[in-house]
Amino acid sequence: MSRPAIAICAAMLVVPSIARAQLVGRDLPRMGTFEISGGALWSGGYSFETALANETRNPTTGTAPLTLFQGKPRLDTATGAEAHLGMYLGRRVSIEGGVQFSRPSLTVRTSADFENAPETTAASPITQYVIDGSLLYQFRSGRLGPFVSVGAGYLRQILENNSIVETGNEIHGGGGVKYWFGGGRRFGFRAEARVSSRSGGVSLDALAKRRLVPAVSAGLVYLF
Amino acid sequence: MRRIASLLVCLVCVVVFGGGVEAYLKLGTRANGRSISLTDRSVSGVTATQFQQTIAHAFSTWDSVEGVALSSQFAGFTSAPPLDDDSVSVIGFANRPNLDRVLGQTSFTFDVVTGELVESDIFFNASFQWSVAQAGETDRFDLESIALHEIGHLHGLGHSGLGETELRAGGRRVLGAEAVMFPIAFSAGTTLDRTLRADDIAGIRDLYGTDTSRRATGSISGRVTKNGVGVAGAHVVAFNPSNGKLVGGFTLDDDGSFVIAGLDPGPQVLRAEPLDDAETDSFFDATVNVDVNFKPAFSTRLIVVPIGGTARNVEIKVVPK
Repeated sequence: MSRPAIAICAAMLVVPSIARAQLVGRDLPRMGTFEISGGALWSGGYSFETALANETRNPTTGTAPLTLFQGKPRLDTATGAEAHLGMYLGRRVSIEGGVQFSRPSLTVRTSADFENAPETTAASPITQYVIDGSLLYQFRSGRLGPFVSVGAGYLRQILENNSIVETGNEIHGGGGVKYWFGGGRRFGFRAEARVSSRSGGVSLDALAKRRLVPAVSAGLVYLF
Repeated sequence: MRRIASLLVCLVCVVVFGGGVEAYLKLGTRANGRSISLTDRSVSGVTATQFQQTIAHAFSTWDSVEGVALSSQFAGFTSAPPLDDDSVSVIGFANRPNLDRVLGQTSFTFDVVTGELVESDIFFNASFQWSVAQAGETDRFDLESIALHEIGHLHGLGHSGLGETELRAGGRRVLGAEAVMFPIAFSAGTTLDRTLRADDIAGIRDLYGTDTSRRATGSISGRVTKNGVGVAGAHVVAFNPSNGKLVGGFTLDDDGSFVIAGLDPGPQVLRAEPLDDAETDSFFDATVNVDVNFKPAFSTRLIVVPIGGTARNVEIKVVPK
């Protein structure tokens, strides 16, 4: 056998073996692969500016307003659920759309009452949805795959008895890991932490500012 | 004579206390369509022309509340004094040194058979020193401030409970108030009560609000209870933490029921307190068994006022003192 023929045969032996290793070890995800995931969610809360129940002071008794009581408004932390549907644009890059659902409480802690009314927390549950889209980058395609994500979303908060609907928007960034089970690696576990910067939505102060909301989630993921 | 029953008198007092009824209790009277004359009498510091201009400005303050269908115009002077039983409604000064704590008073005379409002007068007590100066004058009571309060009565508003007082020798002194319709006036020299507060505005909107205004606001209804039993005469305050507005109301019966209307939609904190910052007869007549034996308390429910609707079944539980 000539030397070129030996070289070609050697190449034929080697190249298929490499290709087989890729298929067995990890044929997914690839461009066009879909990923569905869902799980539990913890969403952080945030405080609003302290609200003062002020009365106009009789000028002969002082200059500062008479504060009948003060209230510390807050959107409380909440647990909920989330789901994502994504599509891979390549082995490492994917886009996904998601929805989060949670039921935080809107609370006002009253204190410093002028007539010594006991401190009280007045609460009202709200229903909160975030519908978002994200771009994800996977750092590696092994069994344990860390990723980062950025995206934006639409916030919808429904107050007690569907009486008022407040809407807003958010941008977010975060990261997490996916851990794939078994040899096929279609089925796995996904954990993620993100920070969302929200604008709009329910507000209990006059400040038109963005509010940072941390969130962590964990659940199952499936490729198809 | 078929008529003559002076039904309800509302007072504004100096340092002591004064006396009227929901956020703004409603007196059941309406001013629209009535002709009211001004007395042409001058007093120290106030000419008849200044008096007319000041009263006109006070009327226009109420008329200019957004979402309210109210208007007024000057019709003319009269030589008739206020508080006379002459079937003529008059606003003017009268010298009543015996009413040594009464700055102003609004009275209503009804036909006891037909229930028709026959006469409504406002008098300002000329035994006090008055001022119409733009910035007020030391030791003189601001006519416009007191007129704004009395015209509120003329429009059908009772007294508001949104004020804090302290007992001193000789009577009560206001520490703070957040309603022109609070029964006790600020000290002489101040003009702070020329400006309507959220409580006053909610009250006048409740009485004269346009359909658009009613669709844009909401109300809260509920009960104040003590040991499961209704509390009559409790003062209930709705506080909007978004904008700091305070609007008050009262429980009007032994069931402890209340309604506060004219509220901004959105979350509100509710607080109930006994009527202990003025005499209870400043707010209610003797038919209401006013209970002041309880401690102030907040609702544990953050009430969301719907747009154009009512948040119902709110209960504020209070405990005895």
